[in-house]
Amino acid sequence: MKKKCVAMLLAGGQGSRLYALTRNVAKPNMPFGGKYRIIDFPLSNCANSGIDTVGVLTQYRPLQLNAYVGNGAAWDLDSNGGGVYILPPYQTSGEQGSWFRGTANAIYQNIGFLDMYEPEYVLILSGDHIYKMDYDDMLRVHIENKADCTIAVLRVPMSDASRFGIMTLDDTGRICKFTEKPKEPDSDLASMGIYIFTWDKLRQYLIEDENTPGSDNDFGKNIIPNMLNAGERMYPYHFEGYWRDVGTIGSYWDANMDMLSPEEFDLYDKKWPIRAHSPISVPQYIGETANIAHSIVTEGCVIEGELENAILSNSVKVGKGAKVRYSILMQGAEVGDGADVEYAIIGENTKIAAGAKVGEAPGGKAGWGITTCGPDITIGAGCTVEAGAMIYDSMEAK
Amino acid sequence: MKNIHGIIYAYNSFPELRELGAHRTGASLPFCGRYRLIDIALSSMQNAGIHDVGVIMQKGYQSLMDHLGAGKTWDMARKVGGMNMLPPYGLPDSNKGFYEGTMEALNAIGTYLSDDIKAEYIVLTRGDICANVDMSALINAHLASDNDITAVCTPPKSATYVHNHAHHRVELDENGIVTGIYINQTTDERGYGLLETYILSRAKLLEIMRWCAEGNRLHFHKDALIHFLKEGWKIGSFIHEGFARHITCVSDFWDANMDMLDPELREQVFPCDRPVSTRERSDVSTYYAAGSKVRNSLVADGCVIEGELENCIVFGGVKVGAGSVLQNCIILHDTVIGENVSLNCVISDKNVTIAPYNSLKGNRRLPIVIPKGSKI
Repeated sequence: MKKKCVAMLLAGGQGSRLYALTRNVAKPNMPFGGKYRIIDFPLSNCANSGIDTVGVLTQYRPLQLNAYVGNGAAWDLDSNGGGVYILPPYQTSGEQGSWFRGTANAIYQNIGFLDMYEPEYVLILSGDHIYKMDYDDMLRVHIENKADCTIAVLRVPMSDASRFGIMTLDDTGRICKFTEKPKEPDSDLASMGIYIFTWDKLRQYLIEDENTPGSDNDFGKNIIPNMLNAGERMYPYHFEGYWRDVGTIGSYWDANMDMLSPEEFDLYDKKWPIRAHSPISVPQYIGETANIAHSIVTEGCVIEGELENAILSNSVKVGKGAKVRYSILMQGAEVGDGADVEYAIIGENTKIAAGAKVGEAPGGKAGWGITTCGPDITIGAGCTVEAGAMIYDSMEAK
Repeated sequence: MKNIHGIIYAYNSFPELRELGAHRTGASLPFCGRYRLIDIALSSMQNAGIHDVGVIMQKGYQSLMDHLGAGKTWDMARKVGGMNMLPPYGLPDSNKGFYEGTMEALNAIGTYLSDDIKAEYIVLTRGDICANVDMSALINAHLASDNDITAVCTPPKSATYVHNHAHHRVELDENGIVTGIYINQTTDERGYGLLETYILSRAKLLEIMRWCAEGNRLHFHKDALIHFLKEGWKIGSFIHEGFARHITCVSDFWDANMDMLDPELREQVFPCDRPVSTRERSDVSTYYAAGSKVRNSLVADGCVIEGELENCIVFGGVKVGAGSVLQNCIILHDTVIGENVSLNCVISDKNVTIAPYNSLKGNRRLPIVIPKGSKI
């Protein structure tokens, strides 16, 4: 079946800089902004942009992610002729198959999948960014430029530029140079890790790259420099608006807090809905003793304590006299009576027992940071977890 | 449970529901912030493994059809069987405007029951009853017995079954077998309440239907049940201990919704092991602004709360402006309440807009109902 454009979503990353939070799940499956998971953003963008065929490449701890994505019905992507396909690494005869060695290798190993659709264009996405983008507009620009590759770029402060892949443009607006994390950047246009390729071209470069010994098989390090060196037509797609990489505890926390400010990022915009695969639970119950200010709460929650600048996923319980401030509580987390949670991230199904104290407000103390409790653990009654701590295992009650 | 077919009556709404029943049947009345009443009957069947269900509808069923879709929410969009919408077949002699009794409704779908479906047993229930019946246990009890019919009953003088209206009751012997039927009781002085939920073999149901059709008898309880009890049929009982309401008027609607603020009653309708499914609206999480104040309320997703709520049930997509105070209110989907509005004992239907500085006060026994789509 011939398709104009197929999206390939790289969702195999571990997210190792999120430590305990991604111990059991891949980063794209991390809860975000209340009822969402990170992967909801690119999948919703695909659905809203009219892209109906999406391959999701998984590798690291994919079980929960596979179950979450399912047949794509949550994003209205379960159509005839299109759909969402989970693409794990697989065995082949002779060569035996292998893990995805890099972003480009992951696509290379799925050339067979793409060939089934004979797409004219391929959109490469990653599963760790929070943003809204009309990929159809990007495709329009790609076609207008008769480009071989279009890279979405965002203006960043010059001081931050050395953290990104930086594009330099020539007078005509064409990309003439690409440097991965340059020490002395000569441009402030950062790659967002979103590419559109004309499939015939990309296919050829993927095969070439695969046959190059010592290659990292990576888009940023290999494919894009190779295409530039060969003089292919490469153009930027200028994106303005909210875009965040949520690869670290700090950036993950910051971006979650941004969801409290619709002027930063409007989840309530009906014209560009972000959809999630949600369990059906009873509406949230707000008890007699609750006090909620500037917070997001989701169905299934039972709140009897105080919330301030808090982001709560499904079915979170906050007991009487408990205080949750500037914190993120993932699905099924429980905060016992009188417990205190500040500037913290609490993993799925983790219990903070009565009277425990997790994290603290920044007060100029050296080594201060966001406190993180991994999933499925219990912080015993009366325990104290210090600011900046990363907790993997349960703590016994004091 | 391939051998069991569910039938849900969803064909009427009572005039006492006033504006709430104007655009919808009793079965599609909103409940507990996100549900429709029929979700409970459908989920009870789903949880018992019944995937083949016929929904009898007659008038005003647009809202119901919209909610049910193909039945996917309850795993009832199947290649074989699944959910069947049963509007009137339009037979010339059944064109009286509305079904007067459940037997008339069943006979209107006579060929469906006699020819189309093959299941050996039928579970009958109403879509406007709010009771999460353990149908799996009901089915097992019936199959283990030699009852001709097993009726779901509520305990005598039950604290969880409140009767604001005439309903039917039965007398049971020490083995739980029905010995007498009391039609249209207004108190719970005598016997056990009937939840109008039954299991019986399809053969027995067809026999009842034939007998009723012959004599133009319209009512299941008044005509059929009393007759067949006299004929010597064994009518057993299955006691449902939990929350149960039949929603027939505005105050039923009000009470049942408000009862859900009680965690124990909520657990009886929404137990973890028998969850209730409903159509997913894909709403965002709810945002509570600084300065909002919420006490003892159920709030669905997709709301923006800037004002105060006390003892309220708030459905998806509702906005409550800063400075507004809502007490004892039921606010249905997508209603927008401006700033500094004061509402007490008000039921707002869907898509209502209330401009700033309005004030409305009803009474617990006579709540004000704002019709769907109104602008105040």
